[in-house]
Amino acid sequence: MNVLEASDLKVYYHTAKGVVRAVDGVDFIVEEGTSVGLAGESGCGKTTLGLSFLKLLPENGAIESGSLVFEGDDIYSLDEKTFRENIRWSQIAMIFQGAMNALNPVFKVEDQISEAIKLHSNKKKKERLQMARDLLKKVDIDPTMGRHYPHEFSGGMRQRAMIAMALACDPKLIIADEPTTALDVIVQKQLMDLLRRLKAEMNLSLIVISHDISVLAELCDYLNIMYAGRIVEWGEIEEIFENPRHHYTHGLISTFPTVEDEEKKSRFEFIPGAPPNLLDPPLGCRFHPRCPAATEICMQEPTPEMRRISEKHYVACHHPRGDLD
Amino acid sequence: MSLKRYILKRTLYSIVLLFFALTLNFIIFRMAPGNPIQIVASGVRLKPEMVERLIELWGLNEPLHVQYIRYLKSTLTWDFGYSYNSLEPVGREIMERLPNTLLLMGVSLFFAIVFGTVFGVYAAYKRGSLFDLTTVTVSLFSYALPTFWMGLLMIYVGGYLFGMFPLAGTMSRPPPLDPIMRIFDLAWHLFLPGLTLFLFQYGGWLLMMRSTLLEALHEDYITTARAKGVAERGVLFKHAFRNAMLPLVTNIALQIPGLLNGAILTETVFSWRGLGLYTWSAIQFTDYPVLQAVFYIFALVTIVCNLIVDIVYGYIDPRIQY
Repeated sequence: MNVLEASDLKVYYHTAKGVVRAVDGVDFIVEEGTSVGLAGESGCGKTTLGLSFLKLLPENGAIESGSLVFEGDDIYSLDEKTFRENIRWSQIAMIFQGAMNALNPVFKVEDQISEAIKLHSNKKKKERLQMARDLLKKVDIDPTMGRHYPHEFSGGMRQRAMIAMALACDPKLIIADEPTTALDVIVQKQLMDLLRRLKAEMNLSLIVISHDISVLAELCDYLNIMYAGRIVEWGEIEEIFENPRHHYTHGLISTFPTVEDEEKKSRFEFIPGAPPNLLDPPLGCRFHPRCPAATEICMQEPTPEMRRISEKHYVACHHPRGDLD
Repeated sequence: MSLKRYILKRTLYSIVLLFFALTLNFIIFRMAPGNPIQIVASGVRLKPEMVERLIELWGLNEPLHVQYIRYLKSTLTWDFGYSYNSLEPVGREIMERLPNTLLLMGVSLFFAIVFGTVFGVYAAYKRGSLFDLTTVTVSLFSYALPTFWMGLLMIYVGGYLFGMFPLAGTMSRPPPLDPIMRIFDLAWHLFLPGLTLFLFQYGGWLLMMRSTLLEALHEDYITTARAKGVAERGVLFKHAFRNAMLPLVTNIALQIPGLLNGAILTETVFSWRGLGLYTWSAIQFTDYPVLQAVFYIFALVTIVCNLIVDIVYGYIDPRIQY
């Protein structure tokens, strides 16, 4: 069963310069108990997509059209109050980037976790605080640290506290936006182990958003590659790493060094050019100005549709890698 | 460092600072041009022996360091010597006027903070609305008007055109005998100068509250709060307000000197019998003992307010380390 299903989702920002199409017709599926990665460069719309699942867009942003289904129920048309009371955090929680400023600096950590519980249950304060401390213990933080303020926590601890807060209401789905970014590799590893462990223990489904494809390789079962507001490739993670069909995916994977491959160690590949401005994206395939395989057809509308490669691998490209045409 | 040590350290700093202010206060008046004796003597013709006698009485014939020590002693004991103008003890005159100034300042500051904060929060909450636009415009306008001009306008409209309020003074003469009537009489006199000083400050508070709150609303922890399911009201009043309060408290300390400034002008315009009016007349008479005393009190108030805010800040912002 699918926990979350979004189809043809469009999220636009209305700015003084025009309409920014941050998410422009995205299909996204999270199967129960799986973890789904969302990769892409900065500004490709991945955080916007993550926030739109919680209907938490900035003031000038809005979900323009599409559908959003959570556990079989339409949540797209739910009004703000019902959504806030019944879905947000209690069903879908989010781990924010860095957790540096994601925790309020003037409240104690345990109070912030307890607040999340308070909003979605009618437990007494004492019980809530006990729950908050248990949650801290679960993410390997000394429960007595709950009485401290976020600035007294290290970066890794703040991220753990953020995870504890996300778990507070026993959600079905957790969206982790850059959960390990700006932390050192040892802490990154610990956090990834923690997330994997919690996912198994609590029967969670995960969406992991990151620009760091190696983090996603560690954590995810499926991978979505996003480029300029669209998903360009989707599939099982091994399949994508071993057999990337989109030229962008290939470029993205090649930019990461591998330890095993002696030959590749010495030379990095890179993707020339810069991501397009979403105010005025290129016609046709949005990747064509940077694509080594682009031809006449790629510059013309319409944008390529998702094509099936196999049961669990789709790509949106006119000339996928490995095809002989 | 513990809180106790921090308070001790800050208090010591404040004392050193006050000492510098005291010294500067002494030097400025010794360096200022003009001879106070001549000013006193300008109205009445004084015999040379009288002048001699006055110089001796005021200690102006003594060497500077002796004068300095005497000045320190009289200031710290709240004695301040005698006024050159009224020949009354300055300490007593100040104690008569200080409550009036504190009342005027306190009442106007209190209402300015309350109204500025409440309307500022609401304007930030309804940002972009007609309410927001109106309050911001009105605030900018009242904030930009000079107090003396606004004061004159108040007297003209409230006192002269409508005749609802007294034109000047702190109390009716003779003051009512009944204590309750006295309070009403005082409040009646307080209204216009209080309103003037209120309008002078209110806009600043509102604009600051609104902008710090809007700034706080863009922080990541606000998104977290919304994601947790906190309703917009809670986001604003709990999560954003607690953070926006920090610069607000700092501002209280910074506003006090400006407020004293405004009080001098307002009290003068309204003939409010406070320290401001006292300062104004002392400036006109080159009444050094009075000016020294008043400047000392202004410095003291500023330093003490800063000290209090520093200590309070440690309580409301957990990130402050002692």
